[in-house]
Amino acid sequence: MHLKTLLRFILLIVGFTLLLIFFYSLTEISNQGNSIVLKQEQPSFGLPIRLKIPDINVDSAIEYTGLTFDGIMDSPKAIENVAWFKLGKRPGEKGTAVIAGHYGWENGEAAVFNNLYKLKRGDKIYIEDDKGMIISFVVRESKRYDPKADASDVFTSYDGKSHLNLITCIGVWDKTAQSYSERLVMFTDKENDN
Amino acid sequence: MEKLNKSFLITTLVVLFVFGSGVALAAGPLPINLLSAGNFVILSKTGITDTGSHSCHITGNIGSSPITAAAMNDVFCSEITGTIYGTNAAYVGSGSQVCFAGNPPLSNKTLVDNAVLDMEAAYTAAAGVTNPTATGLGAGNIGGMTLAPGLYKWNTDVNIPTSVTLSGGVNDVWIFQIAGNLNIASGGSVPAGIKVILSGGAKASNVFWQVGGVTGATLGTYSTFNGTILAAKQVIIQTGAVLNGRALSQTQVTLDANVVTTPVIITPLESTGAHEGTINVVKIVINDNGGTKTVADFPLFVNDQLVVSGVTNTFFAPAAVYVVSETSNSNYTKTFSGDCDINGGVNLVPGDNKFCIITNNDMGTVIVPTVPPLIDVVKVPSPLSLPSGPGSVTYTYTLRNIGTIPVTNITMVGDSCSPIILNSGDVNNDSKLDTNETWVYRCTLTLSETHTNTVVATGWANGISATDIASATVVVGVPTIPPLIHVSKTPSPLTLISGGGLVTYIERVNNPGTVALSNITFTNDSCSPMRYVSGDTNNDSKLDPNETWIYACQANITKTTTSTSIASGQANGLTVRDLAVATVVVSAPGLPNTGLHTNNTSWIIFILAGILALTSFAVVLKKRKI
Repeated sequence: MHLKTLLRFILLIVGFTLLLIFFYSLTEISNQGNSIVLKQEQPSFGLPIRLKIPDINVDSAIEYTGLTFDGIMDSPKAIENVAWFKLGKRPGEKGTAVIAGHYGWENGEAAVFNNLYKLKRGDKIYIEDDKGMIISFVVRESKRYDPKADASDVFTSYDGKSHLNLITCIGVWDKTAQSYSERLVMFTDKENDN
Repeated sequence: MEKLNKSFLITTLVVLFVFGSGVALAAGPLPINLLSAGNFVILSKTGITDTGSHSCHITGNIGSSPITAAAMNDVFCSEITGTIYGTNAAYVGSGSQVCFAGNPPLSNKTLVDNAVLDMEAAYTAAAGVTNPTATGLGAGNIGGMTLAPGLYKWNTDVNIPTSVTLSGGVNDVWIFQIAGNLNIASGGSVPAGIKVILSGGAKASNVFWQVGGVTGATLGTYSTFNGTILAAKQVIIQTGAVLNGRALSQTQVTLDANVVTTPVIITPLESTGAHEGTINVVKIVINDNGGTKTVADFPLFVNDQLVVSGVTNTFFAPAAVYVVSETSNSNYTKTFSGDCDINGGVNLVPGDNKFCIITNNDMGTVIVPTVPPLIDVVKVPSPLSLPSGPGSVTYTYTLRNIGTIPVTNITMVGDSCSPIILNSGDVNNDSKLDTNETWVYRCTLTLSETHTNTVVATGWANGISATDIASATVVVGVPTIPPLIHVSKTPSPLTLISGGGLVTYIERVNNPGTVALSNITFTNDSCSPMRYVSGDTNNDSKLDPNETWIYACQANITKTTTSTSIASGQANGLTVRDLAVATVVVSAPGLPNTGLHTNNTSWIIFILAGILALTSFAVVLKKRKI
């Protein structure tokens, strides 16, 4: 009788685990099902509200962030959201707009930029702003940085064109520093930016 | 600048209206610059003889160098309103030495030594003026003539047996180049004496007599002479003769019951104005990339001489370009501003008070956008002048925080007055100059001669130093009120995120003194053109004591920049300057820390390990039951 109870308990745990895996898969599938609606771009740009990257199943709300007391760009509060650096340019404006997202897992939930590294040259990125406009960007290149490196080229551009750079963590987790060993930056250019 | 252009236009129009043509306002050659010799009414190299009754009336300073001061013993203090400067302490006079300034202190000797050098330079300059209006006029006899402004040249003696008239305006200039001797004939009394007459507003200070003859210049008894005599040899002023001008002789001067009065003195007496100038090297350190160096970590040099930041140093002038340098640190960039050129070179002419600012900015890898501090200091002496001679002066320094963050480690470095005592202002006693605080310092000093005092205020915040400089001149011994000028600068914003952006500089120029300032000029080495916005409430193009002129300028700042602004103005023959220094920090943010400490792999391993453990446990139990 005692063994039976134990086996039931084990089955319950296994079932619960399978259930979790099932829901996780559902989330992945639902992300893939998202569709992108392109709208005509306007010369003036609103505040960004949503980031969509179909190639890695990202469709995320956008938080606004500034600097920490240490002078580094702040991170999004929620792992499923991304954060736009509000002290810089708006996406679509001439210059460089910057958006950061988390990497890793929290309570079993994957962070928004876990697959950012999979993006390759030519992949599309879309920003929806509060005016309902969609601005599209094309991946140009990716670079890895030491967390303390001079990131001027991440936040600045001088070519008179519009850029959007996406930042997340990558590398090895450093327990002491509570940080990954590197930062991954995906450099993108506004599509058809003449 | 628009304001200046406007005033220039108005002035031009007024000139055209009054004179009906575009001719220059002053006629004749340019006046001879006497430099510090202009501070003396009688100057000689081999002494001053005063024969007869010791009844001269001398107004102005007299001196002799290199000869001993005893060579002026003939001149009694009762005969002079002014000072007798000597190279040593040997002057005895009538027994009273109240009018005597000798050596020690060395500064008195330096002053008269330099004045004699300037006298010789002025002689050479006068002899070198070219393009004479007339040569050999009257075969050397100009008695009875009326001469227009100009350059007159003779290779002979010049005699004035009857009065001669110099006719022209207040700004007109006459220069007489005489290779021989100059003689003005004697008379029986001053009214009946032979005269050099000035008419039409002509001023004695604009008349120069360069006399090269072996006897020199002789002013006959009871003659009246106008102008500055620059003689290669002696100047003999015979009984009762009146000299309205200066006797600058490269040998001796002889007096006898004369009235000798210097033209209006507009140049104050200052020993550093003779053959010296000052350089003050001011250090600014910016640690916005994780650096930790301070001012003391960068030893400073002018040529090879070690100097201290904020301290005024005296150097010989004029001289070849001085070079300001420092012991550099490879982790810091170095930028020169203020009066220095980009390589640290600074020119020095006598009387200059130059400021060279070196900014060191760290180049570390940790990028920390931060707010720089900003301070402003004003200095006002009281009194502004000591016309009757040496006395006590109290300087009041008003230090304000015109930035957005509290400033710590405040230092006030004065070049001559010490101690500078904090009188009031730190209301919460936290030793920080808070943004709502105004600190008032005071210092008292006894001045024996005209002096320009400088203070350099420095403070720190966020690893960045801020500095401001204030200078003020107190005039001693002549009734001249020196002007004061003050400029403050506030850039907005103080911090820019990477790439930089537009910065608006608002600069306020005001007059903490009592006399209105003319010819206001204004520059900012990081922004041009400076646009006049407002402030000249009575539209007189003068910066009045109750006015604050506001200038504005926008610049695209792409990297951390320390800008220096210099405002200058003129009044009572003096030019005053003030500097304002402000830093705008441009830096990229650090990359965000977007990593989460629990990763997917560890979560799955945890679950799998749990399942495995439970399964093993169940199997073990089952086996036992069997």
